[in-house]
Amino acid sequence: MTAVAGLSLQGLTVALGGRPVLYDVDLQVEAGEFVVLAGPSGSGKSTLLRAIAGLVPTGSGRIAAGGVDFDGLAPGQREVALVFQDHALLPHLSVAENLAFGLRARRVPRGEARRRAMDVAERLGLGGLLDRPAVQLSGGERQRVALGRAMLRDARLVLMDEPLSSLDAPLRARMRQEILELHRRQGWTTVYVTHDQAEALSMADRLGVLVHGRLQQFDHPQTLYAEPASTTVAAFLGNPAMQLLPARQSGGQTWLLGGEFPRGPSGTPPETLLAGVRAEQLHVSGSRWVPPIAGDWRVTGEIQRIEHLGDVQWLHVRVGDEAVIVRVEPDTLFANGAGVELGLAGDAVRWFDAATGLAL
Amino acid sequence: MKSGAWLAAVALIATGLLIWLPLLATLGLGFFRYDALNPPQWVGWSHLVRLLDDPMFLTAARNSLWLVLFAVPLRLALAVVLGLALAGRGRVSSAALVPVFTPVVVPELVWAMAWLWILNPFFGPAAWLLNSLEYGGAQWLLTVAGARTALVVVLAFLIGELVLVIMATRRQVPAQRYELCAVEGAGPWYSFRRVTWPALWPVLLLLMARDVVLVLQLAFVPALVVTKTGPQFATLFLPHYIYQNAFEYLRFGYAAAMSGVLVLSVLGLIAAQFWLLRRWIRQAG
Repeated sequence: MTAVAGLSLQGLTVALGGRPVLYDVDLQVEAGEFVVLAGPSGSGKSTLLRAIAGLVPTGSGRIAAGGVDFDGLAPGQREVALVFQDHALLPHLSVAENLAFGLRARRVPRGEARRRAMDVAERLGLGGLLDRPAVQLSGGERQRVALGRAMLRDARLVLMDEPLSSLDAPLRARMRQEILELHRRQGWTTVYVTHDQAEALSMADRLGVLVHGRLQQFDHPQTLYAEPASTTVAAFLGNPAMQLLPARQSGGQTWLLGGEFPRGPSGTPPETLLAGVRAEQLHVSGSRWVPPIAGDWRVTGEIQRIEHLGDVQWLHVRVGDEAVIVRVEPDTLFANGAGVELGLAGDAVRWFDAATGLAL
Repeated sequence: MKSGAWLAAVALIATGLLIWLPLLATLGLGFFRYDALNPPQWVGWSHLVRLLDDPMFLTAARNSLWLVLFAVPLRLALAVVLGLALAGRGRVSSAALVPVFTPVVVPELVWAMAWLWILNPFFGPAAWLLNSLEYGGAQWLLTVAGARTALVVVLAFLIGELVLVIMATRRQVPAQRYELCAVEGAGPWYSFRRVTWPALWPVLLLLMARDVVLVLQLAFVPALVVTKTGPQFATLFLPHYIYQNAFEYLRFGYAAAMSGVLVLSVLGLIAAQFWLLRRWIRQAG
């Protein structure tokens, strides 16, 4: 087989207790890349990580990393580091002992293990906490210890299973940066699993979205955001998610929310059509953002609700039977119940076949 | 008063009436001569002095200590092995629990009668087994060592509760800690020492304290029915000797004095265990 410096999954299938969890997953990760696997809970992303680590048996397919085929290798022989969701610190051990846990397991002499643990603790700002029991640490400190343990694994491939999900929001934002810096400094190849789409978009070099055990799309986060391959990816990424509005085609014309759309999808039109629209691309009369362009699609609607989020406000606009969210600047006054005109540039729509959910 | 205080008060009164009062009464009765027919007669410390000269008491005390020293560690070790082996969830471990737990729910007397047959030196299965190892091997069952060993074996089967508690303790340990061990390449001994044992020892400590008391209780019926305290009083234990003095010889005062000595020795033994184990764990930790 060809030597793969990063990580390579080919046709990976996993079933747990007779229930299929992952179907035919292919994934090629370059060495040094920070790959995020995201998806709603129950999508199989944690299982995928655990399959790479060797903690769950795989059905078919192969896993290789750093030029080594993982087939038949016990978890400990794969030389991967795994950062667990709740850190998996041993509460009765001190910070130093937790850091040195793996080294001692691999029979590194006590003195050397302690020295290396101290070195890593120093680098992570845990120097003063070495002899403190793990139970007395804060959430952020625990996370740092778990990262330190990954550093001491001396692994090229580092797997992280929702490592920030137990932290509060401000700490989470800071730890994202710390993890990315660590990843670069250590020269890791990292596979990071999260259900948080914002975390996924902000951290990933490349992003994979898993839904119901299938890898729906794997590409740069900007590509996934702008050109989701399926309605499930579209509905997962972004806040608010891409809005999927029913459209129809007749006689060479495309109709969206009762207004004629200047440019429909190319190729043979499907039975039923969905238009994927981002809230920030819709413009609304009275807003300074996204000025209207001649030849745009235009419809009229009524503001039903206004959500003020500080740096932005969301207008919930009713057009016919559909509700649409529009992002506008925070400082313009809009009134509930007011009639507005909605517009959209002709190329700002991503078309989907409603039957298959796939992009056209 | 708050409802919690009321509940505590009720519990205090109930345990007071049922446990503390009789216990204190027993300790007090040890200073009297009393045969339940005539009024009690103050004798001071003379019962305790007499204990030291009572060869039967000394034999029973030695036998009891011997039983505790052999049966408790054996029972705990067996329970740990079985409990950890059965801690995995699945049909096999659920099925295996039935034979492990059955002896605990079978009435003591039935259990003892079954052993009476199993250990019968002429036609029991144990005799057959021993005879097949060596001609006349079943004779061993009639010796002092044989009878005591037989009792320890009987007690070693009554560990269903211990196994359950250890299983539950093992299941409480988060699975991620074992996954960490797997990923870090730790061997089974390292995982046991660093992950399982720290969760297990506080529970074991309590089980051990409980077992010191329990073993003497559990041995009562088998010693009465199976070995009949013999041969040559080799399986005479303190509870039985106390029972004989009180209800056969009507020496209630003397029996009460022995009970007091037994309670205080057991408390002392438990205290010593805690002290020793804590020190050992602190050094090992």
